[in-house]
Amino acid sequence: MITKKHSRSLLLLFLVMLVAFVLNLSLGSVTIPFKETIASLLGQSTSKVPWDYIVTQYRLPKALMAIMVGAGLSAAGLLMQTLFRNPLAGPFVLGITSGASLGVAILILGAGAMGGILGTYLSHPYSVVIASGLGSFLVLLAVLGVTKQLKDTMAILIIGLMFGSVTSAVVSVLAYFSPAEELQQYVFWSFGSLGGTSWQGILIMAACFLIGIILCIRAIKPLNAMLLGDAYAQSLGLNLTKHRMAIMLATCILAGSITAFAGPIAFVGLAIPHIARQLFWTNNHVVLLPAVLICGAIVMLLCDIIAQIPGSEFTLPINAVTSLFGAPIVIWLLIKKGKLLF
Amino acid sequence: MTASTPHIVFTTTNLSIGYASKKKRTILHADINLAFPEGSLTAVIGANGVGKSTLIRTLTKAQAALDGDISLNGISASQISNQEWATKLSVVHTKSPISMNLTVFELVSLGRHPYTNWIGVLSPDDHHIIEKAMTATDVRQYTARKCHELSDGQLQRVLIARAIAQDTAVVILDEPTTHLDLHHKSHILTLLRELASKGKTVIFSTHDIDLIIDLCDYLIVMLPEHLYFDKPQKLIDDGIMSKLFDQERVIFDSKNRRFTLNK
Repeated sequence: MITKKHSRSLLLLFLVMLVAFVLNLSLGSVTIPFKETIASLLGQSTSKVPWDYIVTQYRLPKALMAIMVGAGLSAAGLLMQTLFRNPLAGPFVLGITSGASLGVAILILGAGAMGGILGTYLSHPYSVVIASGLGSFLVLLAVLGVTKQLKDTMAILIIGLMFGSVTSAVVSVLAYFSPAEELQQYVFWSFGSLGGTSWQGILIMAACFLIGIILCIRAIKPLNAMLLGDAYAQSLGLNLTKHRMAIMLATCILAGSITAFAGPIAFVGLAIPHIARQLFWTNNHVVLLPAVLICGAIVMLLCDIIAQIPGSEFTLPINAVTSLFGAPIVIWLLIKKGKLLF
Repeated sequence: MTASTPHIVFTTTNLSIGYASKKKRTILHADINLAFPEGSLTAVIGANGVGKSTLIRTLTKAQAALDGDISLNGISASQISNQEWATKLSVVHTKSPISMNLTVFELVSLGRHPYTNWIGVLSPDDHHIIEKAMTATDVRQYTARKCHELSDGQLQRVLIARAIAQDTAVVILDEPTTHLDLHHKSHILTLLRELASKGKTVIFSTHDIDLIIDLCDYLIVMLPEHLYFDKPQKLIDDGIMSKLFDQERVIFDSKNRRFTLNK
């Protein structure tokens, strides 16, 4: 099962994650000393009052969001890569982001066209979250419906891509007829953002995250059997349809809720499972799942620090940072090991 | 149970195999009645496309039977849950897209899947069974190796070790000797003979008819029009073997019990 070496590496990674977490809280446009950051976390007073406010009301929800986004998307990516036995699969191959994008596009871009009713909804703080969630949910229903009908895993993959094409086509049409201002609003959403979620939002996100992760943990054993291919998995007594549905449900819950709150975050879900496999050099999901969760959280926390450009007033879109800094890591790991473990 | 009446483990009654789509049913063979005694070794032979794989897939419940029934120890397959079935019958597939980055130990240990708990923790008993399976197939020295580092012959033995670790009464293998050289073919075939002599009921499909004709207890000879199931000598005496291939090209020499080219 888990070797001593693997559990030691996991523990080390977890400590790195804690450091990245505190680092994330103390760095930003205002640099808050480590000691003060921890004091604020422990509910003690800080030497400067605004620091306490910055940490608990702004940076802490953002850091928690970063952990959930990184861990959740990476876990979903791992599930999809094993399910489809395809190293290019990610959490969004099922068309989840496309569904979310369509929901948000209809809300933001459609509001201009239809005015009136949608326009009033747009001002609601959760409107984007709800639109995105609804979009993902509809795609989820469609995907699960298709999964029940089809026995071929690859066919499901193609159908997921087709859902994506159709929805992005609709988004293009909407965008084409939209005024510049609304278009910009939509584009900003599509850059992704970890900040700006209220504590209430964080709690809703955390509930979805927890359900998703529990489903992932329950999928560990069937995922390991699926490494042998469908034929062997079935001969081991696995109910393939049932487990496929559960795995897709987990992916949709994680990717859907994350996209609803943080926008379409690219790259992490595809890359982190590869990084974890290269680091741990195993395909055993008992090791891979925790590895992927922790790696995802670390990468997202670090990317968020970079996006804030410590000490400056500027912030970069998180989506640009994940790819800019993540891609070289993946390339370096592949070259160092000389081959892809998949 | 006496030597003259061996215990019948695995049977089919009026089994029809083939493909069914929404529009039509294509029956390849109908009314197949087979009875495999405990500890017997049976080879399925026949020309390409005659339905060997379909028969194997139907026997392993990977494909639904069009008609008739399969039973294990007298219990109909339809009465047995997938999970329980996996503790009674194991399969070794031909080319299957397995993750070649599993270590030999990881792959063999997946044979314990039907017995382990919800997260797949291996008990000391499981470890013992895995070790025994790897010893029986002579792959213990590769325990920590990744599967992609193995030769075809070694990988085939590892896959058989996985099936042994599954600890089932029946083991079914789809073309286990394909792509192997003569040395490794004979290694695999002796291994199957040993498995049978230890009490497992072994059924496998193959094209290496010359090698297996003296080795097997029973043969299933699949011809396009009919399926024969009997002891090798009986099938030779009845002239069934010579019907296997087009006589213009290949003829069966029943005295030497082997096929030769018709020059």
